Amino acid sequence: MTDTTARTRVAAERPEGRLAIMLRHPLSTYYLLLGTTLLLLILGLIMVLSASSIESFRVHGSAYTLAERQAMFAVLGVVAMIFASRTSVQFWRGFSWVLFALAFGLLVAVLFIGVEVAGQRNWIDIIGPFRLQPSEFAKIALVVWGASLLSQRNRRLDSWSSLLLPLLPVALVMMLLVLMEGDFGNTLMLGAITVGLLFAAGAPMRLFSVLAGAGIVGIVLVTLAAPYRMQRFTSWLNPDADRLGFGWQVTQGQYALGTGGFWGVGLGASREKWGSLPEAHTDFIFPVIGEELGLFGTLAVLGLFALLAFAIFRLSRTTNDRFVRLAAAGVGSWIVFQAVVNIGGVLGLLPITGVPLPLVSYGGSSLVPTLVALGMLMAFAKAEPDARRALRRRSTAESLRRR
Amino acid sequence: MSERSNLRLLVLAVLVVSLLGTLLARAFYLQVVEGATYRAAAADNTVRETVEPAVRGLVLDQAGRPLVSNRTSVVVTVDRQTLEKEDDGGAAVIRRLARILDTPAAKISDRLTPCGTDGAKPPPVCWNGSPYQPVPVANDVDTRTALTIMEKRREFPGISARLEAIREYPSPFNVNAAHILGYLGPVTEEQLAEQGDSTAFDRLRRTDVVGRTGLEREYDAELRGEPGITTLAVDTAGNVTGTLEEKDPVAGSYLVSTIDAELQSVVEDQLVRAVQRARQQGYRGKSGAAVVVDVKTGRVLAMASYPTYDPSIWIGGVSKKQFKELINNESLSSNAYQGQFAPGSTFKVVSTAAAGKDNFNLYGIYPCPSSLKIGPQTFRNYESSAYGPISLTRALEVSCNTVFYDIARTMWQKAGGPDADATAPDPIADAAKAFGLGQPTGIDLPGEAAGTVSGRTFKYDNWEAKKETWCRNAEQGYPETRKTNPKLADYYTALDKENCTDGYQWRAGDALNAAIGQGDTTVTPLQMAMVYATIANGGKLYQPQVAKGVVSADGKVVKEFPPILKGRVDVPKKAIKFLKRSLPGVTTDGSGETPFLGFPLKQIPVASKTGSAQVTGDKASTSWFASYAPADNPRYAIVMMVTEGGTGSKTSGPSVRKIYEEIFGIRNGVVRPKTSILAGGAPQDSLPVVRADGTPVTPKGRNAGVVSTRTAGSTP
Repeated sequence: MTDTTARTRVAAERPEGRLAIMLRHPLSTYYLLLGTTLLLLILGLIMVLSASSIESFRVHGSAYTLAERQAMFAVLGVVAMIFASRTSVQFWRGFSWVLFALAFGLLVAVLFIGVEVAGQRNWIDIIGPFRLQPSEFAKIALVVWGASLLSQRNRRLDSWSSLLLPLLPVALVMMLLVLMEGDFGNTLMLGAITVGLLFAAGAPMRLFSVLAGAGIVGIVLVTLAAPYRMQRFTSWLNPDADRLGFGWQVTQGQYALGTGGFWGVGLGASREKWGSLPEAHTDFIFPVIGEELGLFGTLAVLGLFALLAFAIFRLSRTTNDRFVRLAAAGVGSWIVFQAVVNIGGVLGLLPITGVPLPLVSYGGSSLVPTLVALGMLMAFAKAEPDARRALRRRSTAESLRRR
Repeated sequence: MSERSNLRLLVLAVLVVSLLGTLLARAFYLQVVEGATYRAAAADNTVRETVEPAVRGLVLDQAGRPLVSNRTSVVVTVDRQTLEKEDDGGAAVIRRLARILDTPAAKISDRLTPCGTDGAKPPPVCWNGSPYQPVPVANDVDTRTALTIMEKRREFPGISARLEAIREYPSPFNVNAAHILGYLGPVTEEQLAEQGDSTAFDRLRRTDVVGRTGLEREYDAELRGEPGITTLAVDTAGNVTGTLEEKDPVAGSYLVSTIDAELQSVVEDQLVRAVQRARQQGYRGKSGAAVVVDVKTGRVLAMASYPTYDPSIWIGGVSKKQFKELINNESLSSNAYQGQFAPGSTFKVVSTAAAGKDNFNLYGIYPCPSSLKIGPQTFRNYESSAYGPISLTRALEVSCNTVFYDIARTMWQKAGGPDADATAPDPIADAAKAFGLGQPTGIDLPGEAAGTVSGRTFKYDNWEAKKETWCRNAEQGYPETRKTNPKLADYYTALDKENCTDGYQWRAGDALNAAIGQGDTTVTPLQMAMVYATIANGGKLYQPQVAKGVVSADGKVVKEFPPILKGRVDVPKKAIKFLKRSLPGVTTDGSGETPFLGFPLKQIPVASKTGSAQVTGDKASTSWFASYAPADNPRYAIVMMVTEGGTGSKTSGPSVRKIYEEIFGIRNGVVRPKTSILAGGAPQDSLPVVRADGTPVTPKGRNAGVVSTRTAGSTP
């Protein structure tokens, strides 16, 4: 399939689906990544505009204030994504330690100069209204650093210690720091990234049973330590018991989804966002999508995430570069796990952990790093040998045409 | 597609697909399979609450007699929700209701209109409560009408009659006590704003009434109780679909006051008589106050103010006209703790204490000429009488001004005369402050006045505050006044010029006036009573109290308010001792003698001091009579004053005597302790008993105060 004409001939001889042909294109992974990312982002912008309008009007006096901010974050994030998609694999590899040191420094710094927002002391004021959330930044840093570290440990992975040191203890310290800031959701995400990296690196299966056991114990301890988490947990087990209290949000979320039915009540027509459903534009945006756009809408969101996951793991699976494989697996487990935890929470399948829906929920400090990570994967996808060849050919053709 | 496919990543991919698949299945289940259920639940998921206010607690006097209670009233309410379902929107029902209640139908309609909608009358006519709460449209409906309404349910859908508690003043012994008890009013916007977005069940609601003044306000939290809340599930059409939560109201606690109802009524009566006495002498007798304090605890046993008003006019809200009237006759604020008056000669005890502190010989002999000349000014004695060289005790007895002028002048010169600055010693002002003058006493009633202590610092601060105006006026020379009256303008200009340059100076004249309680010094009658209570108890400064304790509606003691000792007055013991030895002489041989002629002073010696304070602009002096008794073992301090009332001994004195007679049980000059109006002969130490059903146990027989003790407070 190095020759276009050859490929067409093959297609003609053996009837193949158009989809399969498209997927065989050397740049298909790149386009899939770009396409699903942008679609989720646009869907998110529309839904944030709809879901935040009431809250925005109540707090800021204008229905558009929050949506405008989100649009600004999106522009900022897309610019950063484009920038990231034009970097090289070597850049990220060489940059990994710097990125890691920076993230770690910020995580420590936030303990001292952090600002508390909604009970979580995990924000650093930069200039004016701009704030940075180091725990969001830490996720991409852990992916890049961990991938770079594990890719150097090439074939010696059967030795547990070489695999676990220093990744596991460092990741644990990071998780502890994030937990100290009160950010339970991102602690889980860091855990997911670590497990994803180790899994893709080929760590022995026994390790994962140990990690799973330790993880469960950790989660139980952390849940018991904070009464509000305990209440979230018990109200998850039985939302009806405390319908007006902790179960309120989940119950209202399910009412919203149920009201939506197949086709939804129509864009902008959500009733739950009129104050019944708290956090309708952030963590609970999925029910608003379900209410306004129906099963059609929720299916679209799940489908887009499935496509995104497909693209990411495809990159991970097909690449020859160990670093790229690990980095893709890390980003993939992060985004998928975050989406599953968020959606599972609002659907009542999992307890509420307070993580936003990636690319869709309101919030710049979650959106921008996610877009950068995806931009990085786009750069990796373009750097694959086949893709590079296709791109080179395309630019040659273009320069010829211009001449 | 690649041969390098890694099994692991395939596993990961499968995991992801199954996770997303689970989510999809769940979303399908929620949105499609169970969708209808959730849709229905969402439709009736709105929550509304109806509020049943708690019965407000009673206010009892020190013996358990209710001063403020509740009576039940039949209230007719209209449920707007039900009315709106009628074909004609309820118009016919309202017409029928108007006929049976004998009021215009328009009045009921106005009442049913929510405040803020088009055509709504201003509150309290319009309805400012929740649309889900039945609107009360008529109070005190007679039982027969109420029964008719309740029987003809078909004719009156949504209308019901129920019993409600309404504030009532049983007035044992016709007691008034309006300024102590205070009154209720609707919650103010400020109070609502203050509590912010509170969602606590016992938060203030727009429909609540709260204490606005007096004890009702000071102890509002205790008296209010906790409202009963019913949380209803309401669907999108506004129909009630179920009850989610029910909480019964908790009745407010009873407040036990230190006031004795019978004594209070005597004091109120005697204050009115003192005012009448002033008017019989041809004076205006504009206002007055009287305070009775237990000197051993600082508890206020009675406190009256003239003029007063009927507290029951506030029930159901006052009209604009009524309110204007209350403002115009100045009866809304209490002269006893909110009025500030020049104390006149009653202040001489403070000056005496200051002399003792400044090492004057309290047992020395001082000249009492008819007048004292200082510079161009002459300072006279009352009616210019001269007594020659006399002791300080005698000077108090006959209230000789010139003795105190001389003492004040000596102090003033010692401090540096006219050249001394604001920091120079000022013994009289210091003593006044030591006795608690110039600052609120801290009584548990809102809005207490502080009074002023004239002195060097006061004069300086006053100049600081006013000098700009004075200097500007001196420069401009009153151009407006000059147009019509150049002479007056010249006078004003000269005065302001002097004030501008020298207004901070504490002059000899100022010092002399301050020594006899004239000039800028003002006190509240309550403050004066506390000064005499402090002398009587040997120097202990108590914080006056009107509340003694809180008892729950089922009779349990919630809290007691023990006496609050603020400290010892910073005046030498010998000075207090000297005053205690001298003041009984005022009653036996001095200016307080006349009103106490025939009083058994041998058995019950009375210490007193009269005062006749000159007030600029008033034709007659303020009549003061300050006292305590028994002088050999003091228990009560009584202060009475009448503005534009003449002399202390002629106007206030006789009333104070009468109050002592009632307290000690003196009939025709003979002491019969059993006839004392205080049940048991003295204020009760313990809180009165409230039975478990909410009935307070009150004194029997003559001391009961009311013909029938109504059981009030038990939930109707």
